Amino acid sequence: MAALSEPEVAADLRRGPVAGFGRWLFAPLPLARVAVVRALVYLFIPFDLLVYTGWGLAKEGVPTGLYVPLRLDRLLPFIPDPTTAVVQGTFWLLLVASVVAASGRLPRLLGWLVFALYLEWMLIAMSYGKVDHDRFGFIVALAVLPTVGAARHGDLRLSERAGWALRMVQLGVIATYFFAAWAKLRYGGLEWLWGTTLTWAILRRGTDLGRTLLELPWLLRASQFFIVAFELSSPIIFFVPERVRRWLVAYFFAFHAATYAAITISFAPHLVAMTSFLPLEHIRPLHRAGRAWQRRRRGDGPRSGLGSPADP
Amino acid sequence: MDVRQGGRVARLVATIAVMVGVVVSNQWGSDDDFPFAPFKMYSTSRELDEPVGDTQVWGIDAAGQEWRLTQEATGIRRAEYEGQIPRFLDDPELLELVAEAYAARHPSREAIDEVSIVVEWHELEDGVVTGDRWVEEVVTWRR
Repeated sequence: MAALSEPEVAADLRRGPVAGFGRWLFAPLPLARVAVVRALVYLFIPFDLLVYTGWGLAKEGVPTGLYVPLRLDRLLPFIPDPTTAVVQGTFWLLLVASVVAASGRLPRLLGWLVFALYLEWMLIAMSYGKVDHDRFGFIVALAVLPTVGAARHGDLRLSERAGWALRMVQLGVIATYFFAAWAKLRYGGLEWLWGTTLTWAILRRGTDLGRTLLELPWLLRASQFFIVAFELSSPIIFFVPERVRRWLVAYFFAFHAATYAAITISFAPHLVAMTSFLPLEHIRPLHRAGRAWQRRRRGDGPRSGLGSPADP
Repeated sequence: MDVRQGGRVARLVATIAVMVGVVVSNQWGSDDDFPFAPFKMYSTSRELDEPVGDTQVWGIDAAGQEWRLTQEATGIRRAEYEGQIPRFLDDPELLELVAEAYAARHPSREAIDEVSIVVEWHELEDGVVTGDRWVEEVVTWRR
């Protein structure tokens, strides 16, 4: 835990919750974790452009008369209408910039560029009558990752910049869950809990597996109670020990896997942002594979538990 | 690696701004406030006996053939059609743009002369699908 400098301690007259919040917000984390999250976030973008939000590129052929600018678009005077050239240009620039950014090079310059291009891509995609709600944490990640600067894989030095950035992404992820429950109560009222929203979702886009659940309306009703309960209680992830936190993250992933199996909604950008909770700095498959290969080349035996047996 | 005082203040301000933005938009905002749109996915509640609607967009070309205008056909998602229904009801001529989107993706096919948005309703009883359905025409444009 990084110590506050003397002037900061002297200036901080308010102890207790405010200072505690500050320490929590800036709790240092290894730079290597940012390196991994950064790679995952930036490498998700080509997948997003080509597959997950693949319908976005299809907007190049949709007349701009069907484009209804969002508030952010109306506030920023320089956002162009999504003509074919604008859609294609944004697509290709974003594709190239995100792949280069994933290498970790020029983290601030490329980071800000990717953030700006992705935001424009979102303004294009979300302005035809439907706004998706699965990427707030992801967009926060794109906004904060450039503030960390250089972060190398394997660099376990603790950094407040890394800590703050990852904490913001975590807050974005949990805000998505917590306020999703808030929205259910705001738009749906308490009746949402025992209503037919899940039935409706399965009828609209259910898989065969999802449709079997239509035979079990009591299960769907119980699931609705359960969903609101876990969404409202999600901030608890900030107060539990590290070991429990990993189980909570695994649980969230399992929930989304089940949702995908039933109604093919995966919340993929949100899942990528959720990796900000995990101690990814220890996962270095390429590094380990490289070291194992080098040992085999030198004729050393494998280290126990790692790599495959040496050739005879 | 400490963050210097200036950086600390800037980050703290950003954190508070984002948190306030999320709370304000989730309580009073709408989809228009993206990326701070309220997280209202699947948030509307439905009655156990309320029918469930499946919005469909159909096109008829010059040869009289009917085409289901899916996302692949036009590049427009079903939820986007639904979101723009108020605009289409106000000005059905806008559906001609849907025909144009179809033509852009299928230049070798016959042009679409009629676009129709319909809703196929499924009857529900106690939250269970009864099998009864009917089709409601919402808005149609003809060339």
